[in-house]
Amino acid sequence: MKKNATLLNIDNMVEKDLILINDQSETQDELFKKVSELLMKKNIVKKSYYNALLEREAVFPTGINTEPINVAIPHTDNKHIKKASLMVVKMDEPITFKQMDDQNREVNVEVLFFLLIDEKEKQSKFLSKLIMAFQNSDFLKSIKKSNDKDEILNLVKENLR
Amino acid sequence: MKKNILLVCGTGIATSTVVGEKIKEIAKENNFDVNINQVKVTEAKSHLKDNKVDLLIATTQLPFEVDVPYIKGLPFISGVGEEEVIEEVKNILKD
Repeated sequence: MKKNATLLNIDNMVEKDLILINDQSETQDELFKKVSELLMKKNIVKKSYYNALLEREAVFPTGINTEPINVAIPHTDNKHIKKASLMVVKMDEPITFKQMDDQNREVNVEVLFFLLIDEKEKQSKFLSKLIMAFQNSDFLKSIKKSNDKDEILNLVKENLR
Repeated sequence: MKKNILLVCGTGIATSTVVGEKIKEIAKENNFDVNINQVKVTEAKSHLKDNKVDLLIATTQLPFEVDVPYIKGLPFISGVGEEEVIEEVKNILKD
């Protein structure tokens, strides 16, 4: 089966340019715009990605109460994605997201993982690993503490391999 | 008897995939015979109309009422309260 052959390796999905640290965006929109522009420039997403991301987040928010360091996993339909990737953003100050399963709850998010998924079959292992990683609070704490993109890149690779 | 599980999330790609992996594990450990389907929340209603569903797990808010056993699946993702939802899943699947 070709399924295994196409399983994605984290090494091909994330790079230093896809790590933002101490981002000072004050609103979701500001952050999404910044991320979308960067991803467009790197030819990872289509032009339609930004609007799709905004719309999707408004209807189906992606904040998750992983406590004590909360995360968000903004993502949208795979038709807007050109190349499977992962972008990691560490905020300077927490940014407010709505909680995935309850629009009335807000979570203060410190670390974001933008999931840039093209085919779900290829990425199920990777997604599971990512979720497992952020259930381990040391992983998130280490990202939060670090001010070094290379260090965060290595943390992500080590934990998601 | 084989149980039909419907996993629902916003895009039908990300979080439902992860919940699916976890349900497969639970099923394997407990010898539950399961059939897993994964849909976007916008497709959930018509799936429920046309198919038999024994357990629905959603990581997003459901914009409609359901009359099948239903579990909120975010604890599988956040890890907060995960033990409890695993027990709920086992209780529903065991008979």
